[in-house]
Amino acid sequence: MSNFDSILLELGVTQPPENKNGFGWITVKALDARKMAGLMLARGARFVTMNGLQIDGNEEIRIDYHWDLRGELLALTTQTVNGKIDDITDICPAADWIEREIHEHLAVEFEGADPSKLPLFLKHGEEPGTLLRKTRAL
Amino acid sequence: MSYRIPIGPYHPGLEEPYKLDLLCEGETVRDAELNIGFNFRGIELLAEKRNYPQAIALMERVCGICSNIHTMSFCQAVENAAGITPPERALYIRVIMAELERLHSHVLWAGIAAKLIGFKTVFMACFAMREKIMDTLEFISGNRVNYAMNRIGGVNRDVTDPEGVLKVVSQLEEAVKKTIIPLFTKDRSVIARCRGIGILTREEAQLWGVVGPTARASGVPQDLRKDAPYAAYDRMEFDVPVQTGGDVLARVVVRALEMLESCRILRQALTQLPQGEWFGPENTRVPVGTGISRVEAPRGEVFYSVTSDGTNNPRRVRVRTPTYANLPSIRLMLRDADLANAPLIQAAIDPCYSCTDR
Repeated sequence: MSNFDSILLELGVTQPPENKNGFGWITVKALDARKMAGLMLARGARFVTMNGLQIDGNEEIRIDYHWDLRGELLALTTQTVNGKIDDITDICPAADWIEREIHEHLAVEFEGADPSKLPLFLKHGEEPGTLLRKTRAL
Repeated sequence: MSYRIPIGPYHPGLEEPYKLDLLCEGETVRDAELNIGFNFRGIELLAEKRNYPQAIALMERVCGICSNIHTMSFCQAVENAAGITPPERALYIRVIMAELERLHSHVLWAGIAAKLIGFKTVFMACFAMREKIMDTLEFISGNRVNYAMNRIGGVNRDVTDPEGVLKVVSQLEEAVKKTIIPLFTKDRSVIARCRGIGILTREEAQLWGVVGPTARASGVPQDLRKDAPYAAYDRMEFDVPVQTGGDVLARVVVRALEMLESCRILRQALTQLPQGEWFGPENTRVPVGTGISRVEAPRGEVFYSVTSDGTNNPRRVRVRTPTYANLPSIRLMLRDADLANAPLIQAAIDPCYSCTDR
């Protein structure tokens, strides 16, 4: 049993998270990120962070959403589609900086994100993806 | 009339680079814009170019105050990915180092807060106290700042004289009780200066994912040492100070009380230190997969994710520091604040820009 079971059910995920050395992991290929964020916050889960990772030989980026509910951590893993994924910052403001960082380092486009925000880490003139996107690395 | 006051990137009070643009009407702050990245070193990318033991030394440089927490978090994440359990003595030594570091960090912050409040003598007293903690860390590890204590599967050095450390802990506890607790919980000037400013409500703290003493000062009782214990914390008895005011005073009080709890944990860990080895077999073979670690640093939750592709180098290391989670909430704390209170409100989250930028 996981604290996240009922939330996952509402997201249409029927299999339970896999316990990997004390942390719950679940992969949802067609994740509705905005619905997930809304449900998590409504049930009292805390947004911990996100992680982006380019899988070798794949132009798409793996995105891990990490949520805490009463001390239990769930890693919800999904993948970008054509390098894009929905922005959740209007629902979950805690995701603002990490979404911007993933965009800057891995060139992921967060659909619906405010384009007027200044870069956090990119230097003037640098393209998104300069640092961690393997196919665009310096 | 509205006007913009730029502060930084060289911060006048905290001596680390970070830029804040305050949008004011008269003497009242209406909004704030934060800019970070002035101390960006690309540590996550550099970690991909190092093998696991080399990456430990790199992670020690994420933060100049919580260097131990970052190596501990990294090692725990690798141990999580590889299924390694360090020996019991190593787990207790990790608790001892983590709590000494928390004391050192909180005393450092208390000194800076006292200076910003206007008590420069207390600043000196706090820094004298901090010297004693740093001497103790040097006595254990041989180093005052970067302790190089953690390794994958344990720690590098034993605590050879727990009784000696215990004596210092008793002295520190007395000093905290005599100096810091009365000043930050009862002094009328401190209360007048800190009460009712920089408010972050419980709902805002939860929505913005705020962590550590900043969250606990807004009535959110989260502490990973209790909620998801690691190392030997599940064997320690301690309380988690929580305040409901959500203002600067609440943050000051939470940290002051946490110093006493750290002394309580240190006393238990030092007296119960089990016999045996303090490191396991040399093993840096990490199978394909991702390991996670979460640790309650002095400023709040540190999160590490280490992904291995089975080679000698990590494939991806992600570091989420507590200030990275807490800093955006400054914008809420500064709403309608008096301009003169802005430096103290910022300092009250005990920010670390080196960690934030990595």
